[in-house]
Amino acid sequence: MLSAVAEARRVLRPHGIMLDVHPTGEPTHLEVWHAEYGAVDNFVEHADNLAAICRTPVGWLEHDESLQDFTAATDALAEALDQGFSLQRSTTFDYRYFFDTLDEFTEYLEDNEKHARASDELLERALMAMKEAVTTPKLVMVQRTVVTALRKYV
Amino acid sequence: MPLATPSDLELKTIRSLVGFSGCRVLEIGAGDGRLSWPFAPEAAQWIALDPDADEIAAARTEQERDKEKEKVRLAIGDGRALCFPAGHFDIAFFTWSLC
Repeated sequence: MLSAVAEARRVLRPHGIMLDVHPTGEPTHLEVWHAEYGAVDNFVEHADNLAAICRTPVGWLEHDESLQDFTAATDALAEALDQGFSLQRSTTFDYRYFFDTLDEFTEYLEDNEKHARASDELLERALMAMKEAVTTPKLVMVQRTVVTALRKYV
Repeated sequence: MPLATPSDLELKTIRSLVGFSGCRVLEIGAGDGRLSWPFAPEAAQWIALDPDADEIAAARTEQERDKEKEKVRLAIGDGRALCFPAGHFDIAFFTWSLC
């Protein structure tokens, strides 16, 4: 990844910005969301206004080597600070994948098994949490993501 | 994991760090253009690069469907060997691609 950073530096004007978005090295976790009784039911569109949403943590997915790519990206940005960049700002947010049913979620995992897997215990907890929801629940896979802006020195 | 349409939270978080207005932007690892379409209209120039020809083809299909997205110049390319002149861009934007 260092060559990509070097190339970015080359094509940027002095004081130009290198902006990066990538998942952190934290494992992905699973939650069950449902709207507060009587509140807006299609809350996916309102997911950034979380006051009316009940969130039940279910647990963590299992990863093999895919997280190493993410930590390598973080390392590349850290090394960029020795390659003519200064840190402007960095912040994180939750990248969320929404699923209406457990089957939809497991099918998604089967199609992306090289990225993450869910244990049987995790799926059972998710199913229980979805059954206990008082309004229509959604299964939410949450991936912590970091956004970083670095400024090129002259 | 395959990425979906960016959420308002993702877009708002990116905007909180940088403004694209009037900027020449090189997006590296643009994929199917999910982060190109929301921001490119503000920029003076937006070049979206990805090494995956299928992703660029998907982005082109989207441009054909929505003419307002034609501002984005799509290209197959590798961020480790760029064919652009030195000092040309205001922003180099790695979109889920440095990893």
